[in-house]
Amino acid sequence: MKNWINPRLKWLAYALELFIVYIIQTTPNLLPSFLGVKPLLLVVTAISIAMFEGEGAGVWIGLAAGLLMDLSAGGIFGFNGLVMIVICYICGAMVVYLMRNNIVSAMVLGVCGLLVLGLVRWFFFYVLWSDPKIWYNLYAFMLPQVIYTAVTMPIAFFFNRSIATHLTVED
Amino acid sequence: MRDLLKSKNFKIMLIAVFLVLGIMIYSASTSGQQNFFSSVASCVTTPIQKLSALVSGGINDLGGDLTDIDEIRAENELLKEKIRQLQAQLVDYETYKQECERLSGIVGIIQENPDMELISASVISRDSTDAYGTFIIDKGTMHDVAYLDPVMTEDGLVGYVSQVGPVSSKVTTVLSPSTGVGAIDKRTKDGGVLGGDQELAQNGYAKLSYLQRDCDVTVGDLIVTSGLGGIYPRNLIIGEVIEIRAESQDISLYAVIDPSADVLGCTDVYVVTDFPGQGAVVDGEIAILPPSPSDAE
Repeated sequence: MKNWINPRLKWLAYALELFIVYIIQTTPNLLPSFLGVKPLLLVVTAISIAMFEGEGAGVWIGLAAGLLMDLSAGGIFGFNGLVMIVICYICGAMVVYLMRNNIVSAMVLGVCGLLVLGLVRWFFFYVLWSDPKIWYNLYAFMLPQVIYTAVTMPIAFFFNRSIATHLTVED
Repeated sequence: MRDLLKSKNFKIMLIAVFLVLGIMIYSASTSGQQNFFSSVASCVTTPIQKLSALVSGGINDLGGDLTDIDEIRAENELLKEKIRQLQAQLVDYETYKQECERLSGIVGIIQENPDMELISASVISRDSTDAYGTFIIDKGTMHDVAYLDPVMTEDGLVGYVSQVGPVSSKVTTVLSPSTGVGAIDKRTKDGGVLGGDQELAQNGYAKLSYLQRDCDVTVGDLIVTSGLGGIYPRNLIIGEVIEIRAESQDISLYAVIDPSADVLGCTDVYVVTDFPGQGAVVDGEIAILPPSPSDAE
């Protein structure tokens, strides 16, 4: 079948993909703003990879994507990594045990994952600190960012489906 | 469900979670310094981010030139007209002198701080999860950048170095509530503390808090740093007052400031590595003293 493919090639492709997406996400003035926010491409990329590789691989993909986000984030290093591990693990497990692996599931899991990340950040960075603009952050920053990022989910899904299909070694 | 909780993958997930929790605790204990993991990672990512920022800037410039050709032509005509007007003005010596006096206020920053040491840096990354425009520059401890060093552009103050690593540093902007800059009104000498507010930050504005009810601050006034606290040099331009509002929690006023520098879009900045009076940092925290008009004079 496809035994000529090195099994490590797929993981190399995923690692390269995450790194390139990180560069695209953080490069100043590259991605257009929508209502003053920019998309979190690393989140949808990691979730779509976890959907194809299962919850075990999802842990490491989530860890890598989260720590990359932490590199450019203002908070404590590791915060995004921690949340992304759990999100990607759950997304991987949902596809393995409960949901079909298709674009509808990808959109549902993508939006849920983004909402979870946004709400956790909102809770720890605004609610706990009694920020006077708690609700403003929710509707003026987090929700537009979730919508904007969710729009990019189909691209991430089909791209990673292509990698998973073409670079998976069959016995 | 029970099988899932007993599975090997679930245990791996728990181990990873505790691993990252350990990293977070270690990271929180190294205030102002990049931890080992981010220092190593930034050594790899910084050169590539530098390159991508350079390419992105080039593409934006090229794309802008091609798509806005009509706009550029119109602008060109406008500029030519302005040049003619300026040439006429140059003939009038008195007008020229007045113009010089106005500009001397801006040049004064450098004149008043001749010992200020600046190093230039490029913005290589911006945090999409942050509403206050936190960004990373390509200079770190290897280039003499230190924790709490002020960051500015030719137009004015941008923020301060909130985390420093060997080859890169994180900059928290003046739009963030965690920034506390002692600031005064250049005209009236009324003092306040410049910080951020999310609603204002999204529009690129900052907030000058703790203005007294009877202050004379008005729309259009220039706001500069007071120099108190030793974190920022005196008389750095911050921005212009565009609105004055009453605080909802107390009886003080606050001013909405339009920063002179393009805080959310700047790509090249200067880090002030040394200036006279620098160093009033207490236990690694920014120590802001209440501004006093007489001190700032």
